[in-house]
Amino acid sequence: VLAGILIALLGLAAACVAIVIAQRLVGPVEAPPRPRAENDLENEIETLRLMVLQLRLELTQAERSSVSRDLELRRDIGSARRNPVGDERSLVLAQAPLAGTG
Amino acid sequence: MMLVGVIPVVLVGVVLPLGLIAGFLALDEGSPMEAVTHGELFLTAGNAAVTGCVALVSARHDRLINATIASFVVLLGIVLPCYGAWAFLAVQELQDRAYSEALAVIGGAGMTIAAVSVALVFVRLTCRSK
Repeated sequence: VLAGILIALLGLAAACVAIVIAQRLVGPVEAPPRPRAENDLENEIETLRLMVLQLRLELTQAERSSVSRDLELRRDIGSARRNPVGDERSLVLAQAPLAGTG
Repeated sequence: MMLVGVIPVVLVGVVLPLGLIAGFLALDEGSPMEAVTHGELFLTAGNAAVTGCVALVSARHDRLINATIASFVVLLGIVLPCYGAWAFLAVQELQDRAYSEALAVIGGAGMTIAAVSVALVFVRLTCRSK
């Protein structure tokens, strides 16, 4: 009886050791790597998204520059009308319609 | 998926060896319980552990070396003692020598529990974690 109990305990101990070793060495099943084509497609989508953002940024900068130039032109027209210098540019500016002012 | 791995462990590892030996003993008008008292539980324990090892090695190709090492540990730590005890008890029986039935029953039951536990853990390691 004692030998039987001893063998059973030794077997259980060996099983515990084997289970711990197996858990450490093998571990759970990992998710399989995604196909290369799918990864490439996602990279391309990300690149296109970055390009769209960059174009939008450039468009915003261009609009801002355009507004700035427009303001500068309005200021020049107003200045030419108030103080006509007599040169050709001042004459053209003084006769130019000022949009938005009626 | 887990059930697919458990079925061979229970069927091939435990039920078939013990059932076939008990069946042949019954055909020869021997008691089916002699399959247990003769130490066949050690055989079922060894078979269950081997089945679990086969399931692990055949399923985990991503870590084949580690799975092989773990299986080797089981083969040395559980299967070899099981088959050794089974062979010892079988030889004692064949040569009409005295042997301890308590060793066959208690030791065999303990080893069977241990081997089936290991086999089930191995089967769980073959399944995808959610």
